Amino acid sequence: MMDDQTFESALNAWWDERDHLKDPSGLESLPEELRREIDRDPQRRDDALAWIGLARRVSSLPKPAVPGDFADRILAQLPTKAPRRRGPGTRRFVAVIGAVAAVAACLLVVVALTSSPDSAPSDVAVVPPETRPGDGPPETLEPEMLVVDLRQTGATYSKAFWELVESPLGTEDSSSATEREDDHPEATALFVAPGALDELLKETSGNAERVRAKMSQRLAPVRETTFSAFSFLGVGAPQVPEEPTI
Amino acid sequence: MLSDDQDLVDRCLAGDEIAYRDFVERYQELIHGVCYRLLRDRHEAEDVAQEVFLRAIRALDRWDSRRPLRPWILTIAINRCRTCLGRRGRRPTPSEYPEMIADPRSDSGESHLDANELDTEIRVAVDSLREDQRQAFLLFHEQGLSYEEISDALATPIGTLKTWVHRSRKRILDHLKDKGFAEVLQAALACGAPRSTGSQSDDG
Repeated sequence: MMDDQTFESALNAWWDERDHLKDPSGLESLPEELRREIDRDPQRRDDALAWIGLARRVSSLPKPAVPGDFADRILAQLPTKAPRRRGPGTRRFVAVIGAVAAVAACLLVVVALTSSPDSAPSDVAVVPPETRPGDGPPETLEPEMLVVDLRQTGATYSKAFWELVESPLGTEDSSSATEREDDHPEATALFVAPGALDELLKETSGNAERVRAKMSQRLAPVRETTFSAFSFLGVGAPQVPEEPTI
Repeated sequence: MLSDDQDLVDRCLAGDEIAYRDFVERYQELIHGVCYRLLRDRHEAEDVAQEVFLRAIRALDRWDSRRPLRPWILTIAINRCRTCLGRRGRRPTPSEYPEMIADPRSDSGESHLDANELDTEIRVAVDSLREDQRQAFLLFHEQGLSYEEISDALATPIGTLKTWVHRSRKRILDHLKDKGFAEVLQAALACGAPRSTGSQSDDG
């Protein structure tokens, strides 16, 4: 004699096979051991009949009719050109191209992340290309050197120049910009805020080449006076006016 | 069947309009039925079924010819239905079911009243099932899909599906017994061969 769980499992397995749908009584297809069980126990017979009755009822529920013009409606919406079947070669090619593009995109992201000092974690030293092993010692500038160099040029720098230099980096407030208009040209170098210089050198890791590049980039819109201003940095020809001989 | 599918798809991809029609007519009853059972709204089911075919036809070039077409299009249908249900965010009332209207072709021994009440109670019980169990139960019993096909369409292991279907049966039977329909089920069985599974107009 089967216990309830075994009986239910066996009945369930029989139902899954859908054998009950193949014979009129629904019981003839029962496995021998199950048939013995339902012959012996009227309750189990009723259970089995209820299970079979439900299966039959559910599978024979009326199905909704498909509208007569269903296919026409779909065909009317189809594009005039049929999609071309991709051959195995094309599919493989597309897959390879896709994979290569994905890898390239990942590499670009990695390169972009590692080459940007701003995005690097604070505890990771970002080594500019010029300071990689084997490239020789980098040329570095200190803030004082920069200020001294600016003063030594003796050039006159426009207000636009200083705004460009300081606005992205500067720490001075706007009132100082008004004051400097009245100052002597030779003193203009002092208007470079120490904080701004620090910031610039920090951004460029003190690397002279990068300082030049940064200055060049920021001062590009400013014309002649600007070029003479940063010529000491090696960008463009030096145009330092000589002191008049008395 | 696979070579048959392959042939049909190749003809469709060649732009053969008759092949498109064959494709739709081969699967329209299945897809329309599934959409209707899952969405329980006739108009919505028609719209979604149309969308399923259009999507399937547009994506035929991506069909993997090593696998049968039926579960593939069924998967599209079930996904569209799920999206639709998600958008709708509500469950419709079961009053849409055509079987609640007296079935004039019923030649069973039970009265029409009993038959319709039984169907109604079955529907109520099915609707009370958990959504994944309901889908598995309907696809297995109403649509007559194999466990392998349902597994492909629902992306669910066969063992899990069998458990869901089994639990669904038990819950539905318990519901019917509570409502006093156990005898009606047995009487339905006693009447002999199952009723025709042909389509019925649901204009009402």
